[in-house]
Amino acid sequence: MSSAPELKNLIRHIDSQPVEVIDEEVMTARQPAADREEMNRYVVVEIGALHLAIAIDDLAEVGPLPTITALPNLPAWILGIVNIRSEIVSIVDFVGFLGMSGRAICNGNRFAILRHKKQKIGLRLDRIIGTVNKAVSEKQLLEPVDRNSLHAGLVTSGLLVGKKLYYILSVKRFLSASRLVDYNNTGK
Amino acid sequence: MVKFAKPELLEFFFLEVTSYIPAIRQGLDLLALDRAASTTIEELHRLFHNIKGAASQVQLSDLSKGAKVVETALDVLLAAKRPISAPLLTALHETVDLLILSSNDKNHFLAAGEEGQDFCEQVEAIFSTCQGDEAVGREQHENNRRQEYVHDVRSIFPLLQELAGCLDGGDTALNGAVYGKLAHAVSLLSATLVAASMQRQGRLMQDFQLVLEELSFTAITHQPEMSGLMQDFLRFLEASFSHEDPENNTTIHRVQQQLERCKVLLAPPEQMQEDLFFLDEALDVDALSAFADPAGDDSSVDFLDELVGTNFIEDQAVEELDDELLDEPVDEDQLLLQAIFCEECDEHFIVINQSLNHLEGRVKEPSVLTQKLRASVGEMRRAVHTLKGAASMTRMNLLAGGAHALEDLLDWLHDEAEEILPEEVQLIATGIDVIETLSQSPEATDSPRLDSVVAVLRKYLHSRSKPADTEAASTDQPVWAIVEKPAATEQSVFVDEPRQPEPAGSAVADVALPGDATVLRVRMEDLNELVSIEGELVVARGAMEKMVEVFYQTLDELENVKENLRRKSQELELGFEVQSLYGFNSLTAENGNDAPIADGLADFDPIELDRYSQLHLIIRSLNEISVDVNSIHASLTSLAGDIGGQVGKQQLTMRLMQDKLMRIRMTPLSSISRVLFRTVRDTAAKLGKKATLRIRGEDVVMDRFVWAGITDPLMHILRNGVDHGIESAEVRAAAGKPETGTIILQAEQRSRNVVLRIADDGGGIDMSLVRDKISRDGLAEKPETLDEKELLEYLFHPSFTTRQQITTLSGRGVGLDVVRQNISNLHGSIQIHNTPGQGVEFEIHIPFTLSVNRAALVSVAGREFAVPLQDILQVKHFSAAELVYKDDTAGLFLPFGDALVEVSNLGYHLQLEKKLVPTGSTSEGILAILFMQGEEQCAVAVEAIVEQREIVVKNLGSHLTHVRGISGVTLTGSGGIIPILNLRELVAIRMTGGLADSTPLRQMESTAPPKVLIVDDSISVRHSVARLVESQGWQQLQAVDGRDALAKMDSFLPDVIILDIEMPRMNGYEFKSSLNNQQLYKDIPVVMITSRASEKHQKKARELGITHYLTKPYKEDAFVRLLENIRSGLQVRGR
Repeated sequence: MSSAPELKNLIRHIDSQPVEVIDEEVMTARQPAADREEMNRYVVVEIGALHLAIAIDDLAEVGPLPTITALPNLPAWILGIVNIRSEIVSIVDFVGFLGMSGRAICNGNRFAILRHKKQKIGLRLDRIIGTVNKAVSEKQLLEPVDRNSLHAGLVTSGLLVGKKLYYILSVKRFLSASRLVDYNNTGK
Repeated sequence: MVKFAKPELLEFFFLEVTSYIPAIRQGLDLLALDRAASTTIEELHRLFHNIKGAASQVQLSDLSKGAKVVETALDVLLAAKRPISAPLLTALHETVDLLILSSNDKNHFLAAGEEGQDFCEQVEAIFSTCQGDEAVGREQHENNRRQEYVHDVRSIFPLLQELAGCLDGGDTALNGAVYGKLAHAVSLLSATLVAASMQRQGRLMQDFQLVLEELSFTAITHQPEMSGLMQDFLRFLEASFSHEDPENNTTIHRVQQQLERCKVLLAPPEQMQEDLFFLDEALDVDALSAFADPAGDDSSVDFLDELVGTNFIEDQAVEELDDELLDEPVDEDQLLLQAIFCEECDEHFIVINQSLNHLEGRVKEPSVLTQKLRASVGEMRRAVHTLKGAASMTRMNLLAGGAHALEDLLDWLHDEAEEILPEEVQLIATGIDVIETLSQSPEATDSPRLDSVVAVLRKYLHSRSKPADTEAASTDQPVWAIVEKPAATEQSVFVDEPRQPEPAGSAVADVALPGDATVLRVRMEDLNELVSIEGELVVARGAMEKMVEVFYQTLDELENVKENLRRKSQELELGFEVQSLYGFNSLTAENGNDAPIADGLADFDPIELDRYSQLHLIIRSLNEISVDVNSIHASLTSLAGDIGGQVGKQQLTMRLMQDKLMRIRMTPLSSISRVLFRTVRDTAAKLGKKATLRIRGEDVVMDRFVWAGITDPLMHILRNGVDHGIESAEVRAAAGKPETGTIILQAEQRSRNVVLRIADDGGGIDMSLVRDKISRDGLAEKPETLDEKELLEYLFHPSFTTRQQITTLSGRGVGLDVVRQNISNLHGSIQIHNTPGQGVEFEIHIPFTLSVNRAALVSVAGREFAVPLQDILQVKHFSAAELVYKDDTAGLFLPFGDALVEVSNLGYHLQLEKKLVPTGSTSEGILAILFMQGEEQCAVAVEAIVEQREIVVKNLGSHLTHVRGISGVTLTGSGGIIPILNLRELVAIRMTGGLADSTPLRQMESTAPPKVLIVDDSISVRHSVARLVESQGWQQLQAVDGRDALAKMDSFLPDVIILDIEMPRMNGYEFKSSLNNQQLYKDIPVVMITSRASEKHQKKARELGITHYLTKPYKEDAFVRLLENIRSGLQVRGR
């Protein structure tokens, strides 16, 4: 039986360590915002060359990736399934899902379980960088480069952490994306 | 614990109480003469108050509470200034007796303690009866008072009727005056009713007063009949006050209804015109006859009689229905009852439909009611009767009414009729359909369809049961045609006096008492939860079994250690003990104080007298430890045997439990057959076709959940069968087929599967149309090359239809793909067999349960998969000589029975291996699993059968609702996932071209955590490294030296080895040299971690092929990065 740590404990653990991406400048800059408006908390992660921020409310769990059991007759971007305390969760290669073939492949041994209502899907991660608290006003709306691209609706805004932009993943849209849901009818 | 006061205090208390007794007795005697003597009551109140206080003071709280009960009762009496009632007087006498008894037995209070006293309880018991009587008395008094008022009110109505008779059609001034007088009189009535605590009637009278006032101010001309209408309404009100309790819900509701109707009818003419349509809709026949027709006194009287008569009072069901209409809160218990009733209905409807099916099958024309037919009618009647009783109990009065009417017909058929007609069976079927629909809608308060059916049933019964009318009835149109007519027309012809539904109490006889019941209803979700928990238990037991295995292995290791210890201690004893006699000083000689004693023994030779040194003692204690270890080992071995036995027992018990739970969930096909019959019946009716459904194997059982899941697909197939399959009567006649098409649903239990075959005798599928459609839509490159089987597969494609027109039933192309999907979700499969001109057969294979199963674990390409045992025909190893190659198909075949079965490589279907034809067949033969693919035998080759075990089927999570070829997963005791294969579906994918040659092979265990072997003699180093390794999600095993590591590598093949240099028995260099000599181990990356930093040591390591060299203390980050790099290297190499 896998024994992944509780999400809260893990985040506390991550928070207790200095995180290189959250430099002092950012820390001081965000302090006044915290006093003024509601803050959102994100876990920032790396998947291949992608840098994503995932709202903590949309996460069920993050941790070391258990053994993935691959299954036949599935698109390549569905890596398989894992057993999380007797619950079966599918693991998706997000880069592959987006069809970004030119990007580096994710080989990480971490994962994050996204949830929306009763649906849960795991993303394989290369790295969990840390957590950040950001005010709503600090979100940066992104110009849709290609409205027809797969990720057009999944990522509409970003967070600037240090000098790096992290795309905020819309978990709700991702989990209801037709490519994800109708995996049997989508391409490999 | 309450502490009692001193005995002296108690003595004083009881003396005081005893002194009160004569005064109390005297007071009671006086009250017997004059019950209103308030001073006497006050005196009694005072005395009991004193007793209460005194008892409390001496800590006799029970007695104090008892006295307080009396005091409170007298308080109420004094406050109400009422005379004392006889029961209360008796109660006071009894209380005094009890008080005397307690005073005489005061020792009882001392001995029993506070807990043992029951004075208060007894007093409360006495007064509860008395207070109940008091309440009844008060209520009686209230009722009497109300009756007086009611009588007065009722006496006014005739006067008002007389006044209403003065209303004149043309004289508006007179009418205004009359309405004014009436309004005034009604206002007085309203006030009187409110004063008599009849608030609801009072409010209704206020409403009526407002209507009258409005009429008095509106100078309207009336139709002459309005006078009669007003009189009728006043007569109606008089009748309503004839009832014993005019405030009851039914009366109030009816008065309210009639007042509303009266308002509409009395409205000014222009408004009346506007409301005319509404009137037609709103007023029932009785109301119209009562209010609209001045000459209709007879019907008014009937109406009033109905209101006043016994029906009004005794029609409990109607009253309760009205209660609900009056917005009284819905009782939760009632909802629960209804839910239970709905479930109970299922059982009754099964019986009813079985009988109905029997009748439908036999009664094709007027038939003599044979004993068998009569028995069917009898069974149905019993079920309908029970249903009716239960519905009444549950206040589902609509359903009860429908069942009642149906029961009448069944009664007549069973007891009196000589023959039964097809239309009667049809009428019964319609009735059953209606009440079945109602059973699913407990909240329904009206049903025009039911009304219509009930009316038809009664009319029909009336005509059939009277021989003289038989002729007339037979000339009527068919019964089902009548049923479809609007309710109103049927109600108007209904003249039969309805038989009152049996009182609810009659159903009680049919209901077993809880204690006698042999059946207990359990909610399905509770049962599912239980099954789920049981599944978890099975997994947990699997983990326990694994642990027991490990325990046995550890015991074996312990035995080795024990043997070593024994041997070493013996060597010590034999080798060193003798020498020590001479070589070491004895223990006594070392002790200075005992030196004289030792000197005294110097004359003894060591052989003549044993002398013990410190080593002696150590050796002896080592020996003793060895013996202890031996003993502990024996105990542990015995314990392991016991645990193993218990686990075995647990296994048996849980298997029994699984079977029982599974059996609880099983229901027969008959549980859904009524839905299927109805589907065919309705579809045929809508399409104007004649079709009948026959079901064979209604006793075949499956998990209730599976039946629920398969019902929709079956209904779809049946609708398709009637719509697409069964031809029109003309076409059938031309083809020489019977006019009525037949669909046969056959169920068959086959091992742990159920096979369902749905065959129609229609025209079959026109394959040319299918081929055209495929060609037109470009679904296949060369449709002309597709054989029939391949063409039929396209029917399961989404949006595939050969129909040119879309109907409400079919033709949209939505269906068979969903059917297959649903069946796949149930781990089943479906196939079509087409016989042009003769019909189509759908064949469904479905496991009868999804919960717990047994499976064979097979190994394919190094991975384990589970194959449910019910899917396996045979597992057999075929020698190379038995294998048959066929050059024309380039296939490999296995001899099975008289036939040759083509075998394919399971690894290929699982996308783990590239070759479809199994390899290794030339020399070692093939291990194959044979299974049925529809009617065909198939075989897949596997590497090995690992074991046969119980599995708990889990789904694939919230995302992967269906993966082709995988019916679920099961978990190992250690949490590993084993996919469960649906061999039929998996192999079928290849047949339909689902697996292209370019399909990439799945890297099945691509993210299996790397295994790390940590070899170091320092436990601290081992654990420190282990922590780091595990933090990366890697798997680790530790060894204390090179030799230990080599031993462990037999069962644990590491991806990386973390190695120290200096270790006992076999150092790091020796260990690596040993690895280099073994093909399997030589390429395993080794990270050397040592405190030896010299170039000489590093050079030696490089010579042995060790490229990663870290010196202690090392940086954890660097170590982790190194592991990551190694892991990346492993992935690149395809590990």
